[in-house]
Amino acid sequence: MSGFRLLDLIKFFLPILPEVEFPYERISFDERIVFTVGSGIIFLFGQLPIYGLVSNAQFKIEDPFFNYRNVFAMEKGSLLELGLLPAITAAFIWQLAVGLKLINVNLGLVQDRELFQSGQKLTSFLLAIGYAAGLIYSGYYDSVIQGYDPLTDGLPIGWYVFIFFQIVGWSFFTTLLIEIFDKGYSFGSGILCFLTLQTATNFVRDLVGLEIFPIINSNKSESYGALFNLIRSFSFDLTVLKQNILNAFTRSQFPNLTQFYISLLSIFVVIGLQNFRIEIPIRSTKVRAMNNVYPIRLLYCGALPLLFTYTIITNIQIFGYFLVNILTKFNISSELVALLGKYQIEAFSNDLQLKSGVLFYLSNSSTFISSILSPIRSVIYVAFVVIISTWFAQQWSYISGASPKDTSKQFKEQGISIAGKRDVSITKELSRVIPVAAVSGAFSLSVLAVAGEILGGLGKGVSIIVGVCSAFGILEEFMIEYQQTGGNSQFSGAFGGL
Amino acid sequence: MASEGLEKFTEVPVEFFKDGSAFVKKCTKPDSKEYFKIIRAVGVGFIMMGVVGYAVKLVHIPIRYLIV
Repeated sequence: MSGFRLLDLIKFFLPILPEVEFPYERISFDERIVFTVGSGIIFLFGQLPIYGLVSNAQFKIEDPFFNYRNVFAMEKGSLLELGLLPAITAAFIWQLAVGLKLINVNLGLVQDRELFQSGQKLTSFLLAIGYAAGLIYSGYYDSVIQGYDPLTDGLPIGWYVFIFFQIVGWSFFTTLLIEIFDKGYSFGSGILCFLTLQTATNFVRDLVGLEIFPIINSNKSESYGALFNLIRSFSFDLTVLKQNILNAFTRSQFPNLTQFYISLLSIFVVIGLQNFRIEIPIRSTKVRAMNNVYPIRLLYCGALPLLFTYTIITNIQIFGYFLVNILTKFNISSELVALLGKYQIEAFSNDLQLKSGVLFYLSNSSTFISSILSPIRSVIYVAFVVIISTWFAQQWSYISGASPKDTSKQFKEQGISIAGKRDVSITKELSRVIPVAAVSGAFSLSVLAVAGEILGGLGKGVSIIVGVCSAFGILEEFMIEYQQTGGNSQFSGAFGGL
Repeated sequence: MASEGLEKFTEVPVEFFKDGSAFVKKCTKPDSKEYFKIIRAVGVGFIMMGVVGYAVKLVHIPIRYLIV
């Protein structure tokens, strides 16, 4: 079995895996815009509710993952229940496995690269099936299935199968949408583009959402958007006004203004950090007197370290939730299960909050007060996030396509060298700067994210950090592409006058 | 021996903070004019994207009533 590779196993699945073909010819700038916008709109349509649930199911589901939904575009009670989580998890698993040389892939070969991509897709499909089956088995949907009473009726197998296929089907579809991006039809990476879109949409919706929903366990109703609700319920009576303002900052079923301000602050800081850079003077080896600078950013890996950390935490929480439910169903003593995690429902928002157990220490608190009240958890959580993201940045700066070695290779191909350095020492010079940049960037970003979480950002701060960082990446690719076409585009002709 | 191991253990973070802060000090930072320019550009882009996205989401409301 000397020539056997794990990668070859994927060959068996190649004929049955749906695939997006590589473009036959260069996709023009206009077409790329259309593909990007089109896939974005299709992605947003995935947030329609699942058929078979009662109306306003998103507020009635007892939700153990409320902390992480925002980061992965997991919309409660909708087709996007799993969001981008399967795709992101699969991508990280494969990238790390290749980077740390756990599997043997030569990404220079077309065939291997194809297998690698298919493997990633297959993992994403399998994960989606796993998550969906786990959710349904854990009784996540039991309280919201149409015409089903968990206390009196038997198991609604038909509905279960129906819901399962809806979630899994849409998750497959999302994975294929991402592939459209990754095969070069659109701008940027699919995952990051969708995350940006989702974050931006939610940012606007949280503030001025017009929809009016009933509050659970009460007969009142409120608007979805925090600011809009405040304006709608404006009153000249001072005591009522005071109460309304307090409510706008503390309500927990809908987004509140605290989360909004945390997001806003995060945006300002991230934009600042994004522009911290060291400029290495470079000169061309071919043309004389061609001096320029090569910027190395502080956020060398962008928001990937943070995204990676939250992928890990979310996966731990999800599989923890499954495990707790499975153990409970098999009548394992409740003391033992409580060691793993114990959930308690919160009456104001139907969130399942962790109260004890191992999972409790890897979760964040929903308000600033509760993070002060459980200091041990806060410390462990902060340490976990910061350490994992820094570790990832350290690894990533060596294994990604932008490692010191690869960058110096690029320099050589383009006939560039660092001013005042010989050709051979370029790698050495770069590897003195790049890993330090990556690690300190990831460190500062994760501290920013965790600060938001401790103050009660409920993942909004994290998602906005990831969103803004990815927006920069997409914008950069967009501008480069735009300049290459020389501004020769139908769209710029149409919108140029604006 | 034990103290040596401990020293090594504390050395890594100390080294890390030294390198990191030196790096940040050396960085070119955006001045306030550049900063506000970027904030405006990114802010407009972000909010535009959000508004369009939210408009698509508003289309969901009638569909929601149809299918639930």
